[in-house]
Amino acid sequence: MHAPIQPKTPPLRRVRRALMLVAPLALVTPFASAQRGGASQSSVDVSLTSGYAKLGEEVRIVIRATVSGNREVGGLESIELPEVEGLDFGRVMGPSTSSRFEMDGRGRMVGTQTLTYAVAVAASRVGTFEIPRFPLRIDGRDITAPDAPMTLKVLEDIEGSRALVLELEELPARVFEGEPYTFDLTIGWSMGVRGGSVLLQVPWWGRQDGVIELQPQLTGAERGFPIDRRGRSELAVSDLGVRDRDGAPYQLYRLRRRFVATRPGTVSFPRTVLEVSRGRGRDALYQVVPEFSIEVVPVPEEGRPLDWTGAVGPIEVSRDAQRRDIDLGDSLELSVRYSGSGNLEFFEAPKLERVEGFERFRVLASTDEKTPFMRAIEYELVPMGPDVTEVPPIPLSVFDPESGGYVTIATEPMTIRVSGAASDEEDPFAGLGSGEVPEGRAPTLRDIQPRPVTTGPRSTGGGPGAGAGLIALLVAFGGWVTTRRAVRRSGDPGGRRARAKRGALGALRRELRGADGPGARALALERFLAARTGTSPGEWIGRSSLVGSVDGASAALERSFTELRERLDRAAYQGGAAAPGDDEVVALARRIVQEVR
Amino acid sequence: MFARTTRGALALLFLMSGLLLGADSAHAQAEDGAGPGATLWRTGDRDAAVRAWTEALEAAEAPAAERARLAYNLGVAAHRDEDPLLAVAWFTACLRLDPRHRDARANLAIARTDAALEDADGGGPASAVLGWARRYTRSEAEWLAVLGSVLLLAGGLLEAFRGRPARMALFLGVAVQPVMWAPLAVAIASDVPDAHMVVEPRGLQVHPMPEPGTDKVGKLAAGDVVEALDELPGWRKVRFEGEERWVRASGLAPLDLDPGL
Repeated sequence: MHAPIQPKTPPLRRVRRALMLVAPLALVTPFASAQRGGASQSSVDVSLTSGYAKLGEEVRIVIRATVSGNREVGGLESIELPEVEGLDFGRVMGPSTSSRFEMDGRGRMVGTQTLTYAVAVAASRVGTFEIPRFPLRIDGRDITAPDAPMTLKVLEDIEGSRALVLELEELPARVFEGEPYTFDLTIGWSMGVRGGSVLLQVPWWGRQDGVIELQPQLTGAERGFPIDRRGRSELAVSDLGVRDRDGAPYQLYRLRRRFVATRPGTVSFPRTVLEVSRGRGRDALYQVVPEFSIEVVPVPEEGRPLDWTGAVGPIEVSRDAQRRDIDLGDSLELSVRYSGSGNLEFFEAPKLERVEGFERFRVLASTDEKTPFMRAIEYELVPMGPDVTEVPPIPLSVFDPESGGYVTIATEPMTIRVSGAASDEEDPFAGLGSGEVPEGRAPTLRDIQPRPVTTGPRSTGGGPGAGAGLIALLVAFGGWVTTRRAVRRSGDPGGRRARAKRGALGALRRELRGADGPGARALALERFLAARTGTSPGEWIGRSSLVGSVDGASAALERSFTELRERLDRAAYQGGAAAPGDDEVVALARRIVQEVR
Repeated sequence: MFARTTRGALALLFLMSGLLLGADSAHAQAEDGAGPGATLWRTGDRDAAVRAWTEALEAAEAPAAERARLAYNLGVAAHRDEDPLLAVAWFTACLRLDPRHRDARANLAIARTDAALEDADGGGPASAVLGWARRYTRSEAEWLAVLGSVLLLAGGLLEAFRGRPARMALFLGVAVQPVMWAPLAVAIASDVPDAHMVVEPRGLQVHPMPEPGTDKVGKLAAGDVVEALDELPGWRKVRFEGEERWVRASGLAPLDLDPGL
């Protein structure tokens, strides 16, 4: 018998298989030994991403810490960036981490880890800037880097300035606190610029302390203009369409916003940059509005009228009313509108009750609608007599930034006609508004209660609720009916026998109080037993046992009764023997009541 | 035994009479330690006093009786400011918090007369009964109703166990029910959620929309109490003849100063 023939593995193939098994070990072992015992090397490199940049283009300082060996690299702990006139340094970004492994000369695996930080550098003008060496602490070491000062040369973007439009309408160098100012920026690019994306860098937007942006007047036809690289934030700009500039077509947009500085100080506007990237292989284009600032000064105290409530700037006023011919008692809806470039939202509406000439009007209500472009106040007024022929002017004190002084603007007086009432009885204001409290009335009004308020819990707990009362009522009724029915099963509790049984002990006490001897006591006891058992008193004459008439009496009770009864009989019929007292009789009766129901 | 029962009955009678007569709240009048509002009032700065009381009313974590006192003071101030309608609103608000506030009740009558408002209860014996029933807060009225039920149960049990001789107890238990339930019934009947009162002497025009130019669909008279449903700047939505309508907010004053209760 022959065994089946197995194909033989060729010798070369067997060697290859062995190598495949061993190779992973060969890869891991040197790496492990490097991790265990190899010495680490570290280095820090600080450099600019570019020595040249267009004005508006962002350049970065890159800080790179590298460690190769058996430990992890330590992070950046502190950095003191220098101050360079014309350059702004952003915040430190990062780190980003990278690791790689490679064989060293002896075939061992060596790991290298790198931490990279970046600081944005923004130039506010064209020129050559030298960034000195600066101290930093990284990877647990204090160093000063780089080895030599870095030089950044910022050039004007000739092509960008030709192809892009970024024009800011001139802003005042100084405004008064509360005076609105307008930021009006035209943005655009030549139609010859192809491809890519646009970005408007306005790093100060929404970050100016004490400055309020007034609600823009949007038409709905605006488009969103990106203001960050990730496209998360946009500003609504008006599309001006394609317009001709110096003989070439440009696509133009307008960013127009109004702001109000609410406190004195300086409002800074760092540089604004328009960046248009043109796709792969072509440099981006930049156009820049240099940084500037506005000084905010307080509104002067001198000459300030007492009734000034914060109105600043050129403000105009007009008034109107739907009806000017009304009956006495009807209301007049007076509309007062303020317009202009002043701070229309930031002053109080005039209170007519305090305005001279409105004593003959009753102000029912007012509404106040505020927008940055129009302030509309509606007063509902009721003239208080047919002699009222005019709605007086409504003044408003305004600070005029141009003259630096206060002025008063006022509505024009408005003629009205009020049809009078035929008699006092029809006059709705007869007796009202005279300001007089009838004689003898005021003294009877009780005075205020001057005690200070005692603080404490607002509520000491509410009631149980109306439902609880209703439920209690139902329970009461149900309880009465149920109990009555249960009690009636064993007879009428109001019947003569039941009442005699309940009152037996009391009757016994009363009889004993009037009893003059053992015979009378024995008689009282017999009546008590008869009432309790529903029998006649005659049945108990001479009986010295409860058995047969009182069910459930204990042997002890039976003995006590027999003994008491015999003592009573002996005292009554034989004389001489000590008769039981009233207390003993009552005590026995009470035991009978308690033990025998 | 009899003496004990008598004592218990007398105690119960005392408790009942205290509850049913509704003892007026005591209000000390001492000026010592007067609150800041009262001090301003005494020095003649009434506007500042009103501001102080209003702020205290809005801010104070105070028991209902204390808040009622602030509302009372504001009512006095409104009356002195020749606005009896607003005074009526403040005194009414005070009485909703502290129904047995004697001074507020007295001043409310004066203010109603000065504001040319009719007697809210129509006068006569019914007015007296309603006046008595209104001397209880809602929670007190609920407890009185529960107590009435307990008395009925007690009378019923007595009758059940004692039969005919105890029928009088049951009769009394039944007879006392209208008295014990009247305050709760009146409270439920006159309950207006988030009640507001018209404090404009000429009344308030009722609009279908919160716009001045819209047609007027009716009018609320001075002193009318309405349920407020919503609010917009300058306007308040109210229930008017079963419909949701709008009136000028400045002509309404809230009566419920403690909606948390």
